[in-house]
Amino acid sequence: MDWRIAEERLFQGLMYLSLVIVLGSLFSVFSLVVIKGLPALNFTMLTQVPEGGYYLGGGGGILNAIVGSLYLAAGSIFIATCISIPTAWYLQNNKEHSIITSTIRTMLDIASGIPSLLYGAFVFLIMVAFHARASLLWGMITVAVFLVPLLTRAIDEVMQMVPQKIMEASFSLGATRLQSIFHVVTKQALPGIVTAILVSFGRGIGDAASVLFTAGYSDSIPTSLNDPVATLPLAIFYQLSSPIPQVQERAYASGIILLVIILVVSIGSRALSKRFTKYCIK
Amino acid sequence: MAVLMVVGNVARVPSSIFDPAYPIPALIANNYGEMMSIPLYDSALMFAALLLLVVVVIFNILSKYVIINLRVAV
Repeated sequence: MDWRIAEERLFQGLMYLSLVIVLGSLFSVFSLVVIKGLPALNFTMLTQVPEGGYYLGGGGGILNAIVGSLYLAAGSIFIATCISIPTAWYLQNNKEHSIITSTIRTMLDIASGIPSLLYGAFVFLIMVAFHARASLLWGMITVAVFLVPLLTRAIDEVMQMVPQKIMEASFSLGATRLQSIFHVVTKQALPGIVTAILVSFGRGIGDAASVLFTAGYSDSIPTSLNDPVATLPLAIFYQLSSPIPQVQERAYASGIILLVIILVVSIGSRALSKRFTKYCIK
Repeated sequence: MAVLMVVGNVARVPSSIFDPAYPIPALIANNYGEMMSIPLYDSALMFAALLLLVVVVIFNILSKYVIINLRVAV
């Protein structure tokens, strides 16, 4: 056989192998969690807060963690969006290759490479300086601080994908740079921005390490911003650390709930961005 | 956080790939409870965090360097 054909075959085989590894690991995580968790999953888990001795096998559910996770992710994504979109506008408003812009981009890349746990430790030190207690508000701030660099870079990339010709068309109608960024580029990049926000929402809801220090843990649903809050990943972590097999099974059941939430968010983001694409210039 | 559950968390340099190890984020996560109770303990943990940050910065600068060099080549 020709050695070039052999080479082609070899690399095709390697490609298929890596594809199988990626899809297989995803599928095995899904199936393991579903197989181990499904027997323990029932309606009370979704609708009740933990009763006394829940972590020793007592009755109740993990509604506190579900609601807490949703509150935390929603609040933090709101704060992060309010900061990220103006930052992305600023980056777009500057000239293409200015030193300030590229420095800011590098710094944002560095910030998105830092493990989320360090953000948690950082905000924890600030909390100590303020004599604050672990609460929903500080959890939101932590997750927002950790999401801002990711979200800003994602939105910035999406805005850079908008063709230069659309900007030029807007300039030719007499719009300033800022006006075309606000009204033309943002509208054109809207599907991408929505996707970026929802992907970050998924990151925020699934992140346990950053809220480990700052959000606390509680068995009841928070009623104000100053209450400590439980999150789903931490609930899974604590239940999995238990020696009782029944409680460990519940950890996998909570994992199913978390997977379903993330799946719904990512499918929803696909659908939403497809819907917004209708209003874009092609 | 995911690594913390499986890596073993033993404070010793691993001599083979099967030995337990102790990554910096796991170190911080496991010790944050005592962070404020022992003098200079929080500074020691933050120094570990600083080392991590330095590694991240070095890799980012390296990647930036690679990107710029490749762009010139094309």
